[in-house]
Amino acid sequence: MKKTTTLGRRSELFNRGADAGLTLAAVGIMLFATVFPVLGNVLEAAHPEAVLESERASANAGGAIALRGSQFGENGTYALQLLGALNEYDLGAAKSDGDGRFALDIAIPGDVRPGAYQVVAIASDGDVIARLDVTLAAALPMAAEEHSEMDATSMDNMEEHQARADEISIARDRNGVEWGAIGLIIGAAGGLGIGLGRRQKAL
Amino acid sequence: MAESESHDRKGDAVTRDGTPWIEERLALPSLDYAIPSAANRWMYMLGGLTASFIVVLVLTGIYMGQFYNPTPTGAHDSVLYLITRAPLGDWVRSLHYWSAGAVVLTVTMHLIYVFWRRSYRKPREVTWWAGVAMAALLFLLLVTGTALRYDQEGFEALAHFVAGGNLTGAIGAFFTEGFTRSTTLLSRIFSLHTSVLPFALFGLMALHFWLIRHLGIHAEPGETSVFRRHAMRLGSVSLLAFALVGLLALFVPEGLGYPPVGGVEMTKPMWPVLWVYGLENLLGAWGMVLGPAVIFGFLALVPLADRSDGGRQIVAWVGAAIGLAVLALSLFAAFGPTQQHIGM
Repeated sequence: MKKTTTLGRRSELFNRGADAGLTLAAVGIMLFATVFPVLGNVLEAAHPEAVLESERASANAGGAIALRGSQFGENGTYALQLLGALNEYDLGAAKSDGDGRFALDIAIPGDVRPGAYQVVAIASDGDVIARLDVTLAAALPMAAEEHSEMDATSMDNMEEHQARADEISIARDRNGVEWGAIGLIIGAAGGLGIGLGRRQKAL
Repeated sequence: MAESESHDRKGDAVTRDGTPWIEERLALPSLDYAIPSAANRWMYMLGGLTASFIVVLVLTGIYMGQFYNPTPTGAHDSVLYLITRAPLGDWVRSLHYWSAGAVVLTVTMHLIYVFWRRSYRKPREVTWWAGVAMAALLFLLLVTGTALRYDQEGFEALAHFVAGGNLTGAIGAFFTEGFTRSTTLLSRIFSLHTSVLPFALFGLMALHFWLIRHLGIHAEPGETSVFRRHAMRLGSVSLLAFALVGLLALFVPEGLGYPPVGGVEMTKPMWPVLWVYGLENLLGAWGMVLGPAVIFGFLALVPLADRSDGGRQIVAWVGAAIGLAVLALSLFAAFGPTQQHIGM
């Protein structure tokens, strides 16, 4: 009788603690949901909203794209990069005038794989402040010949015109954190599975 | 007094630390309803195991969706990006692949066992039809998922959708490039794979579970257990199976073919679809339409046909014949040469 009463009090304390914990969690989520977007907006406002445009947002590898920039900072220098899912290329720099505008032709490297890319403008502090989606097609034959060497992750443009049923040889590098995370997930699943199995037998 | 308090889950006085709060808030005592103890046998857990793997597929699919670019110009590169750059991307993708294989295995065994035990009979016809419809959706999810790889095999799968769509006219118009000019077929297949088919699957799963809860499973009367124990056992088996699949994904990662080239057929599909490939070897492109239609059509008719001794015999023989044909066609496709089916 005495033991039950003590346990009952402890459980009541646990119940109150759990209710208080849930209340705190709800308030925390509310505050986070309110503050987080505002904070994001403040951080984003460190740079003005710049715009990259092009009449024709597509080109062949080895070709060129006429690029226009507006709403950049006055008389600034911005690095331009071509970002693909697998590779990135430096495209030089753009200098804005007193109105924050620039116009230039950017040369697309000849060894770029066909696909979807982004041209990005990067401020001196390393922040990407404008993006333009571009679609690049395979190099025309002349341009492709000038770029016969490809890097390890790209496949030869010429080979892409021949169908292949086999698989690409992919270098699968996994860092220590990834190994740890995978080990933890598999280990936790296995351990929990064994634990649940033992507990259900006891029921 | 002490005894009554120790069993009073609704009252304020509770006797065990921790557990009562969770039990009350999550209504866990409602899991303690009686079920046949047969439910805890391995063969009765295949459906639940399938559901567990579907959860893994959904979670890994959501993760992969953050990196996938469903456009012909970006798809292949984005899959390569997922494998080589995205954190855990290679493992998560392989987990998705192996879980899909596991689902095919468990759902097929579940279907065969239910068929064998004739559990589709009154009053469980709708439970069976919901299950057959889910199996068809899983088959569609498998082939649409293959197309999303957008390597040579994926591209050929996409070309088969187009060919099938053209063969079936208005019914298959969705699968043709001419359906709309506003977006690509690959984007629509992506949408089908990640939203339309999963939503339909979840709806049918809800119906299936509802019917099982209220009509019960088909088992001989005898010893009873409680559902909570079954859920824990299923959870245990599911977690161990997940750990196994996780190891497979780690040590046998899924590959990716070269970027696709149109106009040729040179790959064979994943093993669960090999029987369709074998049928195409015999019937041409119509094989991919007629094969699934005959199998799922037969499965849908089973509860209606098996209502007499004669009907039972017919269903059993036709079922066995179809099973053997699927096996033979799979072997024929696996060991035979690659063939052109759709005149790409």
